[in-house]
Amino acid sequence: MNMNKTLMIGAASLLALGLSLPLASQLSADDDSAREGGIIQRWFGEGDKHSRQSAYLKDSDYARYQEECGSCHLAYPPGLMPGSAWQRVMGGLSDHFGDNAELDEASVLQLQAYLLRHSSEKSSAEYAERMARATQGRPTMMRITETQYFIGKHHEVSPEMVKDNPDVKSFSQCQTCHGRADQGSFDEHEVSIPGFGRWED
Amino acid sequence: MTKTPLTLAICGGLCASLLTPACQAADIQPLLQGYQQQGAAGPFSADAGGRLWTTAGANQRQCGSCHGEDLRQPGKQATTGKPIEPLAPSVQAERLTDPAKVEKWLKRNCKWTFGRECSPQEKGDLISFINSR
Repeated sequence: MNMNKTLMIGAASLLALGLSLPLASQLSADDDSAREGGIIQRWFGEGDKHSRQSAYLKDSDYARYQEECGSCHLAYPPGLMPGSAWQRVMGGLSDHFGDNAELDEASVLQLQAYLLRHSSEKSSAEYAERMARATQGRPTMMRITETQYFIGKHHEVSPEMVKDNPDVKSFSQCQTCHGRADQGSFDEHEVSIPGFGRWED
Repeated sequence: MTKTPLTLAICGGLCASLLTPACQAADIQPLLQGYQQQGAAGPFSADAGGRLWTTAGANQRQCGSCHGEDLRQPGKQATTGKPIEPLAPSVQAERLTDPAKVEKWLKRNCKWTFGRECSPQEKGDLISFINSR
């Protein structure tokens, strides 16, 4: 009898713990250490996390996106910007941050539709969800690096590491330090800055 | 058994001699004919294309700002630093083989470099120059 009771209490506690963990991580969604560093997330969330990060890569229009936009710069994961920003970018390709990136009308529409399908509001990648929350209701920024979310994530990175680092030069070259940026992965533990090595927070 | 290496050697030699000219330059005749239909006076000149290649536009921009001096070497996008595969068909066999791609980049890059679109004559000259590298 006593044995059974102990077991039941034990089982109930485990169940309660199991239920509260995901809840706790949801409540502290803005707390990076809880989300990215959580052992349970790491152990059981990797496969799911990977598929959420890579949905834009599996879209049949990705090859076109890579060809048209990835020739000059990283084919930025569309989840890094809200739809309103992508619309503005695609509406002004003849002056694309000082470069001419003109495309015919049909291509613009095709790529814009692709970007909107995977924008930060639509993507379920972790960084995309955070970007969507951070940009909601704010003026539309056309540069990822101008968003408050980006600035907040990189405020500890010194100018010597990026701007004044001849091997990096600009924050726009995500893949220089985030080796798997082209796979939609921006995990902090993957960061390695040329000349400085692994990022230790 | 002994035939295999011999056959391979003959085939290899034959293929190499057949393929070498094809790997050195692309067939740009369809492109050039297209430019003539668009009003280029012709004939097209690799030398004139070479002079245009090194002509500086606004802000001292030149074709080589991104593609580099030697078309057989990789270039580097001037703004982002992203590597650009060599333009020369002699080292990059698929260069100048896709007319839509050629047209798209000539339009973008003439505007970036010279602040205007290139004329059909200039395009034919540039293509002839690139194909001679």
